[in-house]
Amino acid sequence: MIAPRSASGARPGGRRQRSGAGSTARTSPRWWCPQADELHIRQWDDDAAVVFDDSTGHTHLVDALAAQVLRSLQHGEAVSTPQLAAAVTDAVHPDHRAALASALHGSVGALQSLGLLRCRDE
Amino acid sequence: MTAAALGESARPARAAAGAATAPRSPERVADLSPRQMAARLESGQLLLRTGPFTLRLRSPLPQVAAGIARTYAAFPLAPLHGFADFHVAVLPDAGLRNWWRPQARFWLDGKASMPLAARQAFAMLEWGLNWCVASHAHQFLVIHAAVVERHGRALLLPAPSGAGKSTLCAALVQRGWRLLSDELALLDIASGQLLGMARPVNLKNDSIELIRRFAPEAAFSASVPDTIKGTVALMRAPDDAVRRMHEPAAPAWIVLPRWQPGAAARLQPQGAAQAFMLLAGQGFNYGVHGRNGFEALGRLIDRCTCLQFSYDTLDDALACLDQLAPGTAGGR
Repeated sequence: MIAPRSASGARPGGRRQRSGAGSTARTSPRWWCPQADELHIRQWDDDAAVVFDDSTGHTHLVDALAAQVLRSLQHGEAVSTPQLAAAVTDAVHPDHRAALASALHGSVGALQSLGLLRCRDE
Repeated sequence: MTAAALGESARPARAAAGAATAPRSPERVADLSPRQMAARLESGQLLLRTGPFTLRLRSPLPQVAAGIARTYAAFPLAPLHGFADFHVAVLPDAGLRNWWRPQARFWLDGKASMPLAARQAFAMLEWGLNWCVASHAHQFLVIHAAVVERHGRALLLPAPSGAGKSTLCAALVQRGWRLLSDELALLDIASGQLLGMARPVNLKNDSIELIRRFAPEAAFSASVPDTIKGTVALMRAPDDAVRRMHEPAAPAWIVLPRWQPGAAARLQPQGAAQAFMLLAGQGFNYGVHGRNGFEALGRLIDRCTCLQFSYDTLDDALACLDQLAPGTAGGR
């Protein structure tokens, strides 16, 4: 089944929580891929990739940065946004690294809307 | 139904010095007389080979016999008692509809389609056969695409209906490219090769006259107006394509065609991932194959150059595509 093309612009998750001491400090989201070992990625050039999800049978078209995000999460562990950015930096052309934060925000949102990425607050 | 009517010898002729030998069993559709053709078709004993499939056909309708005689003349007959992949029939509706605005239906293995006007019966047979392959031939990855070949290398033209791929395909096969199919690319998942059927090319509306003028020597079925696709006609495949229908071809180019009035014919690079998604979207049974389909399509993309193609006139289009695989002198 071909899933709809990835949407963009979805905001990464993050909920306010109250600690036991009554503080309202914002928690840091951690990202993980629930189907990490069931995704198969093919990429032929720098622009886009296709991802097959064994768990659903869906095939997705994602941009190159989103593909790199998925690859960096295939170990199955949740990572913070800075850790995720560090993991994908090497895959980003140096000329584009200044805009990495906003590009990563978009890719993470797209992957969330496809159900390939989830946010876990800690 | 006598053996003579079916076109087979009732008993071997006695050989004598200087006497003629026993008549040869018909090998092709063209070897059958009109009476023999009608008899076999009416009794469900017309078996044809079309590439990897054997079809058993049945119909009492003269327009179906005429269409087969006209566009399947070069196709090999299969043994009367042999295996057939698809047992199909185009039968008139009974009762009032046999007389008033007669209708017919396509049947596969005892199940019938919705009725259409009986004058569309031959077109219905072709559409029905396409449906049979697209819905059941899961030994292949079946993609909605035209496929032509030259020098052993295949050019895929995937596109939704109405994009002009059949028109382009019809022109290409009249100018030195071999027809595998105008509608259904059959990808052998194990070998990665493309197989063909060399069945007639479906044309509609203005494309019919366009190709008649482009290739005056081409043979067509009768045009049928007022179908769901407009006026349709089927162009007979060149005999060479039918003779070579069992030859697979290695995929080399995936070309996404777009007819654009006034545009100069131009090939431009197409992103591979986008081409993959288009092929998967045009895959009739991509979902059936799951991961195997994903990997097979990935290997297909690995082997191919992916291109966008815009064009206006057929002459310009063919001159541009010829650059991919230059033909021999004379275009053949």
